Amino acid sequence: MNCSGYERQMSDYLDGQLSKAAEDKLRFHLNGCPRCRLKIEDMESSIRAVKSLASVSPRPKFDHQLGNLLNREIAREMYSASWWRRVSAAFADLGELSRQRPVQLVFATSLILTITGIGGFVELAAPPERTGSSPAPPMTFALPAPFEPELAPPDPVSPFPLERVPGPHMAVRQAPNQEQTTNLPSTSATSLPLNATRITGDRPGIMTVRTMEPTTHGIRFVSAGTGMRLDPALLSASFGRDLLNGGNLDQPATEEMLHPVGTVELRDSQRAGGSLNSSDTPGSSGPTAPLRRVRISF
Amino acid sequence: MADNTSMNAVQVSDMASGSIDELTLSDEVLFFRVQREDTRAFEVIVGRYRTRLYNCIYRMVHNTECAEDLVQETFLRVYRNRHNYKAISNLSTWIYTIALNLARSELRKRKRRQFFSLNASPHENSTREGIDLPDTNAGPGDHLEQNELGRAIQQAIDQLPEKYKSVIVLRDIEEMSYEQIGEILRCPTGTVKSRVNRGRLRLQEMLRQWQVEIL
Repeated sequence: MNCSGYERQMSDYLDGQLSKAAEDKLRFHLNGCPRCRLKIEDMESSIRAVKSLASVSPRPKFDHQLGNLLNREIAREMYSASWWRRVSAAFADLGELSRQRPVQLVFATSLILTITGIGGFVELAAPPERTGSSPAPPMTFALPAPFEPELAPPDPVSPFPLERVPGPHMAVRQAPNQEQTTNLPSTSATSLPLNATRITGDRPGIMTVRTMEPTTHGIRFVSAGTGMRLDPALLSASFGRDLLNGGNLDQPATEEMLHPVGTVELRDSQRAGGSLNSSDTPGSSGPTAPLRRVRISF
Repeated sequence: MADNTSMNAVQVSDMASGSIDELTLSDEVLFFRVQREDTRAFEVIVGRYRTRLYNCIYRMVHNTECAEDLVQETFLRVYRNRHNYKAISNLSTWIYTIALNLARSELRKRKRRQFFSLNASPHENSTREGIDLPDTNAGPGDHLEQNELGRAIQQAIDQLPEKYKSVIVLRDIEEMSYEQIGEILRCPTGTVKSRVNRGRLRLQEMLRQWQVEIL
């Protein structure tokens, strides 16, 4: 092998990638060839110099820009998420739950089936005059879990979506450490931007409402029970700029924006258009309307 | 539910303060969580890779703004294509493949623009594409090297052809194995070794010509 042949092996030699035999041959050649020896010494020092280059970091504003970019992407995905994707995500969650907690899932399923069976049996066994004497009660079901233990348990709610109602009545209850939002705008649903909110079903039993203001940092979420359908425009009005100090794009979201800010009580309002109120009492929005309490977190 | 949802707004600046659980998990496990729409896990991934990727891309393109844009674009593509990632390969390999493709594409664009600029006749309409010579030099904020040697080495890396530049950056700066570089650049390990050798030889020749003294 001549010098150019050994030259091709120099890098491997310095990286320790040569076989023992090839390494011995190269060493023997280097002992007798000052030109190659100089070359390999130069190469070794240039590798050392490249490796010694100081690590460079992006500028401080980089994180902020990247955060904005990713938040916009997340929001874009939420807007463009297809029905099928949401359904498949829900099933995927269920699948994961069954992998993680198979016993609990089987137990919960059997419990639901048992309750349903008992309910059906009771209904069948009931005397006909009893069912005829009073109007049939609305179908009810238990909440998956109380979101706010300190509050009274909510009234039963219709499992059917509320979208048949022109606009749900919504009241905001403040969390203890947040400032009061008593001046929430009272406006009709049609006057608000509908694209600010998207409703997705994340998993069975929970309806998640994700609200986003494209001009602010926040992507906000509202959890509700099965069958709950929230009015996007009303949510946008409730949890938009008012809770984000105007939603300045250049201001990073602060910690307090990420805290739960309260609960929304939804009721099946009889009034068309709907309105927004601030209220600390869960039952203050009308005695007859079915009430559902949901937790909001940012 | 609230715990999951409250972390969906990405706060890149808070990435260092992840929980112990998140910080000890492997990239692949974390990315599995990202595929389950856990954006907090993605924040941790971004935190792990942002500086490494930036350093790598900066050494390739030698321009702060361009490197930042490319890193941002890389993370965006990683997030967008998260469901396409298969756990059969390393996450780092996948991320670096995306980043390197972007950087190489940027370098080719620059080369093309330079070619058109140099071929353009001065009598032609100046509004035509290719007349404006792009500034491929480092911007005002790019004098990051603290000493002459660092500047000289970066300049030598800039002069390398793209195929040598990538392998030198990945091997000597990122300290990756030949196999991983082969996966990232989608070429056989033998080719990588040969390119590393030639790249190092060229680098060494340039430094010798410039009489750069390496201690």
